[in-house]
Amino acid sequence: MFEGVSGCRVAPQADVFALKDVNGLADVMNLRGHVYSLARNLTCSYPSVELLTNIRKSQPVFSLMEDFESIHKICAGAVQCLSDEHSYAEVQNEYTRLFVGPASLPAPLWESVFLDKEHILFGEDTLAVRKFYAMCNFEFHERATRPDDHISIELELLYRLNESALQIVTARDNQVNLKNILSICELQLQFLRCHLLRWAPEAFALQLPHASTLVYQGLAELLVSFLPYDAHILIALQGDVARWI
Amino acid sequence: MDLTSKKAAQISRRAFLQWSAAGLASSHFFLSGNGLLTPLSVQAQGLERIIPTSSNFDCGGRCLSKAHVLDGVITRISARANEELNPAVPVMKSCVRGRSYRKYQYQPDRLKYPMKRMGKRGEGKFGKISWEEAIETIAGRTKRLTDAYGPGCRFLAGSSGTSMGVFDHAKIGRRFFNVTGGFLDNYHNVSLANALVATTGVYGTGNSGNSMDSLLESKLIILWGHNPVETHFGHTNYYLKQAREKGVRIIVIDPRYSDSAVTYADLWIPVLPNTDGAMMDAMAYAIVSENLHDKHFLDTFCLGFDEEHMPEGVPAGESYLAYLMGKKDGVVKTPAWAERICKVPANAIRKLAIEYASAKPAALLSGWGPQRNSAGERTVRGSAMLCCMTGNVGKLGGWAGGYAGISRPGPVGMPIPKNPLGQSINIMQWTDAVEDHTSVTPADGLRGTDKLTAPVKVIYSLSSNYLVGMNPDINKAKRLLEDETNVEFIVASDLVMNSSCLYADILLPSVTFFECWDLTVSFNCGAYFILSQKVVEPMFEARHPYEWMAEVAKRFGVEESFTEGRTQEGWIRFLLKETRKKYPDVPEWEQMKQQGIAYLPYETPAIAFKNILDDPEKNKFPTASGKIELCSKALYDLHDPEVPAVAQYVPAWEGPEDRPRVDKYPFQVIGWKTKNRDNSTLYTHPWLQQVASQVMWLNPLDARKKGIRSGDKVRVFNDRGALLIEAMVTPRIMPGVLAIPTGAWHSPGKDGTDRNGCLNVLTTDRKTPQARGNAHHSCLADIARA
Ligand code: SF4
Repeated sequence: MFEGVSGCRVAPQADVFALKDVNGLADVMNLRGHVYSLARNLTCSYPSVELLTNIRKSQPVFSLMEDFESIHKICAGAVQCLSDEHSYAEVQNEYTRLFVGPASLPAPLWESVFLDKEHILFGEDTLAVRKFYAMCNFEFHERATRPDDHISIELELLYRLNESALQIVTARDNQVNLKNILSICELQLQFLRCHLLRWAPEAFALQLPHASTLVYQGLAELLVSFLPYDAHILIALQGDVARWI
Repeated sequence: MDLTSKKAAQISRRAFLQWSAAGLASSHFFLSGNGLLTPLSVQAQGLERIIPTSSNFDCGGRCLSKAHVLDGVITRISARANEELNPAVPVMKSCVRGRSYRKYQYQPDRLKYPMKRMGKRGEGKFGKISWEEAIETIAGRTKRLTDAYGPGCRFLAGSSGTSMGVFDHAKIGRRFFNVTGGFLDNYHNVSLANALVATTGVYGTGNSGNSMDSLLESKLIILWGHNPVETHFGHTNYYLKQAREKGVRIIVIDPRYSDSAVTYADLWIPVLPNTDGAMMDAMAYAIVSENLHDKHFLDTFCLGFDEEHMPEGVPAGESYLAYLMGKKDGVVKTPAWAERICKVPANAIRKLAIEYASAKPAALLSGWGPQRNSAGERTVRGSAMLCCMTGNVGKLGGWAGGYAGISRPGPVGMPIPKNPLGQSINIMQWTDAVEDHTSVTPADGLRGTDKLTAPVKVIYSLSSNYLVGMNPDINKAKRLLEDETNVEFIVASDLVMNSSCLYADILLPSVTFFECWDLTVSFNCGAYFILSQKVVEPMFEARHPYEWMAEVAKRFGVEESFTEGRTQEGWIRFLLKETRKKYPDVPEWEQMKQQGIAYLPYETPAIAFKNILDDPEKNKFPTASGKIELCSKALYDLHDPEVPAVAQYVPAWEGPEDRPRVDKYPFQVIGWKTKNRDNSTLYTHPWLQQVASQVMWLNPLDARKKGIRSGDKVRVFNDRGALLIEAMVTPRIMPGVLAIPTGAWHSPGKDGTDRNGCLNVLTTDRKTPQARGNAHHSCLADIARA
């Protein structure tokens, strides 16, 4: 299934976790889903009141991730924006500066800008990402005018893959198809290793000094640390699921 | 900072177990908005298509660029293949700029969405808006201001970013303004105003150039301030290279040892800027002294060379010969006299003059650099004078000098409805029209009216970095634009945030030539045009100005007269059809899409004025007298010492003899157009910034005096502004002159000092005496190590 993606073999790791049952699996996936949708939403468009409210509502969930100060920063930022117009305006302006323009972006958040040998939009890496989406049966419907490898779309792919695994886990009909879960984890790991991890932590490290609001400082810090961390989570999940099979 | 990945590995177990015990199954966090990813509908084809197209920049060349397209993405650009050369109409291979077009197209800095200004004007704060809001704002504000001040308050900053296409954005802007009541149009441009006006005065037309193949018959070629190696004038280089291979002697006259001098010159003669006229006078003197001038030609076709052939109404003693011999001022214009002014050794002047007058035929090509100064018109007239004296006018292998336009077949242009207002200003008057419209007079170039009834209140700046870029004295322009009570509404449509876009109230993302249709041409010496094809969709929310102007026109109730029912592509199809009516050999649409280029070959070289030489009874020069006017009655009547009746040397303001200014600012600063950009287009291209660095050339003698070494940061300054730039100490520039590449985007530091080496913080917007044109290269300044 992954042969098309050369040079991206995932090295097996010996981490074995003692997940008790499938419910534990669902919890981990659920939390990952929260993080990926949070990051995807914040990178995809201006943070709306609705989004900020959702973040505030999800605070109890995010509080489980106690090792990630950054996520608490985002939540605190969201709360501040909801109570104070000035902070809200600031976070909007910051989105403009960091993600829209018109001046040069401190870190243009497209994979090919970082990885293509010409450092351009729509580079070879964009087409590789497009292929990966197709392999997962997805496409970015605006690809004629916007590159497929914007951070928000890449994050959405992980969200979507995680969702489909979660659906299998929570489909309580009969036997959970563990093999499918395994291969969806593998797909996510592949995407992280062949794509996101190769550029996104570096990109957000570059962006971080230019972010001045809690929300976007938090987001940059989160993505710098969470993405490599998540690769370990996936390896751990794979280990447990493989053991159950 | 959170966890490093190593630490992540260590703690993942604990966190993981904790997460897994959360019992979260019911909590959910959704994607906001629509999903970006949708189920796969079509599999990628994986087939590459190669589509010929071309840029529309203000570049002298016009090359075929082949876009390799895979799944809607340009994966590569290639140039015309060697085998595809058509020697009858040579189209050049892409230059270093053309090889970088893909990186230009896909630069992450592209403007992506319509935006509106949030902070003070010029501050750089913008917020994203919808196209709907942008269009409503443009229509509303343009309408309101038009109602309040009349259509004359609307002005267009032209588009050197797209000027070589028939669908040039400025033409579309003109169309829009004219169907909505008219506007304050402008003429001239800062490339060639002085040359065009001066040449038209002498020959009655600007079309004084031969087709370039004529150069192969020349015995001597002089490139006077002409640098085609970097500026790519059509296929000039193709013929210069062949001439060089044939052993034709080539002499380059330039304050800089330019790339063209490096490439072609047998001899380089450095001349002090703004003093070319003195050198020309001395050459003329030497030619007459040696009795080498073509008396027959002068007597038959010219007025004003000697006292026997003067225009009616001009008193005795005003001929050029009388001037040379010092009949009035007692100064004989010998090479020794000129040497003191122009710093060219008298002997070199004499030798050059004799060589030029003896080589028959010989071509003296005067570039547009030396006319972009306060003595520009006189220099152009001087070059024409020398061409006439040596009898090189109207001859194969010769050259008539001056502006050197060539009338060649080309594509039919975009029809522009008449401007109902009928008013226009010379481009150099735009700041006057903003600051104090009552100061704008016909004497300075106002046309169609005696006075303006309103100041400029609306500016559309289309693919143009003119306002605070190519315009001289941009610090003055900035002061005017920053005051929002002057111009009340500025729309800019462009690809990247350049220094002029910074002053926009509404900022719109525009399309590249890969994203729209056009018919593109070279500067006047190429007998062909190219179908510039749309290769990919406009990126992000970019739109061609035609598209949004159609929407605005709709709100003015004149959409139909603006579009005539055609799409952007529809217009290009229509214009190709119209062109085919004139030139039936031009291929039709589908074939043009295949081959890209329409060749319009001519059977013999095109020689300006040859028809007049061949049959002087029937054909006359299109001047009032029917002759070449080396002395002009009209100019004589001005009694303006700066606009003499004959092309004589007059010390230039902001030149080396401009005392006392030159005591304060002892260096002459000139700019030149570099190989790595077209005017200011492509300035931020990272590869092209490596092709030629933004450094100031400085002679070792001057460097020693100022204690400056190569690589030092230098402050260059005068009363108008200051810039910082790295110095390059080199004998490639003559003493007393500093050369800075033009086109750097202005980027001021806190104290206003430009940090990019943007020359136009130093240049003056004072108008030239005859054309009322620009004098970018008449600029005095001083330097200090920063
Ligand atoms: S910039 Fe001019 S010379 Fe260079 S490739 Fe483009 S059209 Fe040709």
